[in-house]
Amino acid sequence: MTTLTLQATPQKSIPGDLAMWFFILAELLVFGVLFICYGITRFADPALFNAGQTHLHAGQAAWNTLFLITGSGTAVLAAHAIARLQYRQGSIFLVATFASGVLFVVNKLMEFASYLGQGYTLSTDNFWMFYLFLTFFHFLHVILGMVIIAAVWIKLQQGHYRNGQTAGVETATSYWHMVDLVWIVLFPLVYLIR
Amino acid sequence: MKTGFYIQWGLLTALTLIALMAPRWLEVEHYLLAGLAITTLTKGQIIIDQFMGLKRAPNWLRWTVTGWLWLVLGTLGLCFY
Repeated sequence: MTTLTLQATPQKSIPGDLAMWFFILAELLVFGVLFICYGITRFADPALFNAGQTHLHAGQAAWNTLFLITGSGTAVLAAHAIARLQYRQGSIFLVATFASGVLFVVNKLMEFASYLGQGYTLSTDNFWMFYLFLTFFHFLHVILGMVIIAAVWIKLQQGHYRNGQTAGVETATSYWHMVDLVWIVLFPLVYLIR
Repeated sequence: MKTGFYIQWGLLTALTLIALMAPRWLEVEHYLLAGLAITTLTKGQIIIDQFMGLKRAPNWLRWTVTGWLWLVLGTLGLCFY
């Protein structure tokens, strides 16, 4: 007698909503073009960019990287907890993700205030134009990410994910991870590479 | 799941600190460029595969986001080389 064994192939699925992924891909495209523009402009005048970079606070930016990485991590834990119907834990992890965003925003505002206080503006030179534009554009995305995380937290409190439907949570956390991924490239690009 | 997560988070943190110190350790520009490219690529790949969960997503989505990372870093590498 032979035994037929059926092996289940793991089903591959898109985390969250497909529409959000098209939005994320569009955002990545925009940031990618901006990064390459930065690289090409820097290629034409490396001395100017290296001189400008010496005024930046790389340590403060490293803290911001740690805040975003930690926020991304707690977002993963939140989605995992909600999928396992551990709503209280999921709620705490969402608050932690939001708090990491607050830390990023406060730290970044202090950094911006420091540079603006020293008289650096968008019109100072090409380096400061790119630096301020790129980091402020990313900063706005962090704010949007925080709004999305807050919306998911409110919906969780209202019991919207009680039926095990976690697509909304995954959609929100995917956006947050995109913001993190962009910063992972932006951090060494403007603060570290010489 | 949690053990793997903490390992990934620890790796991301360690790579961030290594990248921060790299300009002090690596005075030769090409070595610094290579070091930062490796740390950034590793961190980005962890975010894409593990945190975004694209390792378990359809290939077209996983490779589009991964392709973005490689293309951007590759082009920047040429600009800085």
